[in-house]
Amino acid sequence: MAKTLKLVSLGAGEIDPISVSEYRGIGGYRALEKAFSMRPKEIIGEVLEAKLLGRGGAAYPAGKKWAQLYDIHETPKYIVCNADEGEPGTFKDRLIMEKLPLRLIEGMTIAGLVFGSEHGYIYVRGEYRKIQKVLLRAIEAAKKENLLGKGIMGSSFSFDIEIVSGAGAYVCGENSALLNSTEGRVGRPRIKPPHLAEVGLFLMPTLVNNVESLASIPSIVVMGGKEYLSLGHPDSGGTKLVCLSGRVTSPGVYEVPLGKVSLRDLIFDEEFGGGIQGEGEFKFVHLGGQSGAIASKALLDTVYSYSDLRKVGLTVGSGALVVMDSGVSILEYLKKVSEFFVHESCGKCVPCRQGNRVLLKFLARLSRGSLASEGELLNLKRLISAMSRASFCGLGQTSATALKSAWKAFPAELERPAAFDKLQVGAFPLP
Amino acid sequence: MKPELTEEKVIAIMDGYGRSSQQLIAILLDIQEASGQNYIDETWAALAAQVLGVPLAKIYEIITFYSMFSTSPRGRHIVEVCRSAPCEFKGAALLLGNLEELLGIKVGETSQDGLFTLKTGECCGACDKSSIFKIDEDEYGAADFDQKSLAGLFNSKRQESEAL
Amino acid sequence: MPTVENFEKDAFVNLSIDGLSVTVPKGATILEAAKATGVIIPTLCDYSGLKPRAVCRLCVVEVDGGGRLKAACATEATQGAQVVTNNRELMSIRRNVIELLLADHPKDCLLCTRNLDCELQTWAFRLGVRSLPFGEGEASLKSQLEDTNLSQNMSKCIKCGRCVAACQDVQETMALCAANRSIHYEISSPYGKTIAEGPCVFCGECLTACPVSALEEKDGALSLMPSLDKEDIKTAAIFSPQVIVGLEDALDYGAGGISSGKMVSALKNLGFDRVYPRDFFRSMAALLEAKELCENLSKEKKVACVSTCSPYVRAYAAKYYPEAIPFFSSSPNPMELFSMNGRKKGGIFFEEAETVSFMPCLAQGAEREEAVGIGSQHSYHLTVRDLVKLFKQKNFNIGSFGYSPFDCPRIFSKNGSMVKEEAMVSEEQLELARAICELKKVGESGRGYSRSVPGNGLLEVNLELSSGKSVSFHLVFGMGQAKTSLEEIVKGNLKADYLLIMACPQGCLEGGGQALKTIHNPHLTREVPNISNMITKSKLPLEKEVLGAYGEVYGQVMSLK
Repeated sequence: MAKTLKLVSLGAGEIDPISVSEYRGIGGYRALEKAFSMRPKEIIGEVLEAKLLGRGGAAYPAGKKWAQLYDIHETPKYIVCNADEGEPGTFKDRLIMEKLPLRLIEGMTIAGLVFGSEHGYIYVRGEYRKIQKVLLRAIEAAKKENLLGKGIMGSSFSFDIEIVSGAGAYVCGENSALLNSTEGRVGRPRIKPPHLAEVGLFLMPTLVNNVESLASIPSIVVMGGKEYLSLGHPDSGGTKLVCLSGRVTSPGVYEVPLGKVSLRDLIFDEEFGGGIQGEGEFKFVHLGGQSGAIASKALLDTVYSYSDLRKVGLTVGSGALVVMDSGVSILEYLKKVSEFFVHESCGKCVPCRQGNRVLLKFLARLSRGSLASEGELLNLKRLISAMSRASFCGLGQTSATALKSAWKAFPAELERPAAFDKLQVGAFPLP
Repeated sequence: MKPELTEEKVIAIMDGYGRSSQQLIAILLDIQEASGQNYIDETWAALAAQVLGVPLAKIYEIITFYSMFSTSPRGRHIVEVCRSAPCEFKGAALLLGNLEELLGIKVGETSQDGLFTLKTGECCGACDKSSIFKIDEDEYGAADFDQKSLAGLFNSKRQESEAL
Repeated sequence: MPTVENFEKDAFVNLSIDGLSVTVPKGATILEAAKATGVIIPTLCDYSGLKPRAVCRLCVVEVDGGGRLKAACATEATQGAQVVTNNRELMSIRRNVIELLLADHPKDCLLCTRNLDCELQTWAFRLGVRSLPFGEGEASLKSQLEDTNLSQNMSKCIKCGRCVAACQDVQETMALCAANRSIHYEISSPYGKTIAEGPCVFCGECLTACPVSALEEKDGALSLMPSLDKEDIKTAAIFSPQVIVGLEDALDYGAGGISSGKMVSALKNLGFDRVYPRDFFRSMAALLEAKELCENLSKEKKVACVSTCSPYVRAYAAKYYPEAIPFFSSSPNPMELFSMNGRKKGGIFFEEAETVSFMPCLAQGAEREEAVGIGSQHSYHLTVRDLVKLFKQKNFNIGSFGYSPFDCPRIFSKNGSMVKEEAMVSEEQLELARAICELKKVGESGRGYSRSVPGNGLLEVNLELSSGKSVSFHLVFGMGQAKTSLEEIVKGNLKADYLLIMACPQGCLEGGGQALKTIHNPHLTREVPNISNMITKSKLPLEKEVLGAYGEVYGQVMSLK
């Protein structure tokens, strides 16, 4: 039984990414045409009804974001696409940008139309420099067909898109840090409020949405919000690009309707992950990104939807599913996660900069065989709580989530690490 | 032959972006690439400061904040092994060891001929082919190589550089 | 504060902080509201005059129940908000922040220059931190000790960013930056150069902003002591009134507790042979500059005369605004006049002396000692902090000292007789000198606003001379405003005949060498000085003596050119 549903990835690998005619051939630009005949409030209404939740990780209702920005009466407004995709285990936005850039461009153009914005920016991580070039060519192709630039489709609406590059900083995936970086500055997050809808790019009202979110807009406009909602889950409509990686047989990007498959389906079904590669047995899956919670096999039957996952303390996040088998020590895995946060912390606030290093040192000590004393565990609990409550931004606030969830799911292993057979341990020098 | 960076070339790079200080990051990435040693010398940072009207202090902050930049010379090619979680547990350590042996250097070092700097990095978004290593902008999955083809890959890179 | 006259509906908000009701102007932060009601929320990265950065996270509070914690320094106080600053969770978080900072911080408080005057120490004490659950950490011992008077001690840095904000946002000098990311995040200068190699003007705003001892100056008192003790070395001192303000604060004498007379006594007890009035040298400098200004005014094309005490401001201009350099006055500043004359036998002092000028200035002392070729005479420039140290180490009770008069410079002519008042000075030059003197006084005592009031550090005064000529003066505070004025000179549209640049945003009163207590407890808003009034009423202090000495000094200065 086919469980995939292709909306946002429809045509990937089948059409020439920068051919407008081939994109039109699979239904491209019907949405923009339709959007011209709709009023902005109508379009926003469809997005609201579709219950499109932000696909980058924060899962903020896109319709709500659009409605908030619409109510702000200041110009110019900017449309910014978050294509930073720095979350380990996530490689879905690149699929859209590499194979279906025109769908992203179409989505952004519709957003521009809704808000009367003339300028869009796609902030692409520095590691995707090759993909930036594909996007540039797609923009040129669209311009040639009057689908970007002045007088789009012969109307009075003008919209152009500029590519801005990152240079290697996961924290720039945080929207306010991303805007700072887009302005050509250091990418550290801003104090909020004021929120980005009021004070965004160049201090003007700004919409920041993830690649997948913007690329989902054309589907919503064409089929209407109601149908988009019905394809998914009552709390969140449509489909999600899921990224399977780790010790599965068939890693890759899969588009699934929300609420219609379970974690077990995604990991073991032949249509998706195809089960664990090699001899091992499934042990845990890390969902949503490095800041997501870890699920043991007890939670495998959870339905993959925002609300079902949230009920058991898990997140959809970016859509990443990093699968590990019995050959992987949970402690070593958590150490890796901790190293990541230490490396990617922007460094400006005390709880995150100093706290993440304390966590890493603790995990490193455990992995060398020492045991944690009760006093130490108590201090750590205090620290994790302080980090999650007092850090400046989401990075610091969620950096200990994986550790917390793993503690609950694998208490024995974290308390007796020396007894465990460690595989795949590289000597990673502490920074 | 290493490409030499001149003041004219650097200014031309900035002109290519309309001397926009907003595109500072892209400008610096291009300068770094054109240097032939994957770094941004103080001379060029100071020139960029002058031409773009951005204080040197701010440019230095940018260069040291983002991982892709370096303030000291590196190899002609950056060989980066991903050590993030998805790759780590699909043989990243093994891969790193193999590359260290193949290039004759330890992680963080540059090969004698100045061609390759070996470093580790965080996720570059190709986790379905993990474990990943990159040579500059090109990504490679370790599973697609054996000892021989890996050596072959680097040899062809060497020949390319020498032909310049 | 709300009064009957200025009360406007919606101009104020009322909120509750730990159950205490407080009313503040709209736009005030929760931190300000708390201060207004006497609730002290701990902060480390907050500093008067800087935009809040909210990075230390010490000031997090709960607003309207659960949900995200907010940084009090950066959150606006809203009508009806219920703020809690001291529940158990918040107390635990604050201790955690200090414990995390201490994990990297040396524990040598007893030997530290900021012992008993350190904000980290204060909060560790007040928050009851008694253990280091996160270990001693690897404190980086990288220290950029320099020959000049400003060095970084990175092992003490808590990365609050106040120094960077002072240098980049307030002064706009851009000598410091916040480099790297993660645990490598550090305060440095571009490409690892020393502070002196960049655009630093040694204003000391960074040093006085630092809550700990990460930015230090050299101990000036040490090099001075031998000279004070030796019988055969004569020493002469001058000081400005702002020094007295700093001493009163640092030694707890209260405003007005130390008179000039007592100050002279104290310095003599310290070992100084002579204490001269700084007014004398300031007036002399004013006369010299007035002569230049006269010459400029008589020229066809308007040429500004730019004056600044700081050699580093001049060096900064030479580097970044070289076209403005020809406009800089070539007259020595008061301290230079003092030390020039101190080294000369005969002349206006009784004898050759080592000269020490005490000012709330860091830049003057940036080269700690100037060994001059004549004999072993040195000239020193010490900060108020150096003087505080000296007085403390000498166990002085200044209150017990009597009054001593200043020593007066003796005026000699070339043949050894007392010089009478000479008419070498034109009326115009005298008028201009008086104006310049008043302007300098204002520059030293500040523009009349406390540090927390940001704004244009520019005072413009127009003067009509008795000859009918109209002269415009600009008094500039802070490097940010100085840059604007220098740019105007380069572009040719500076609307001033005379430009006085004070490198420090609050003038000498809160300069880089001032007692920290004076700077950190900013004096309440003072009246903005009415310079025009001051100028019309002024007379050069010690005018007879100054005018008498003028010829001699003028000749010396001209011969130095």
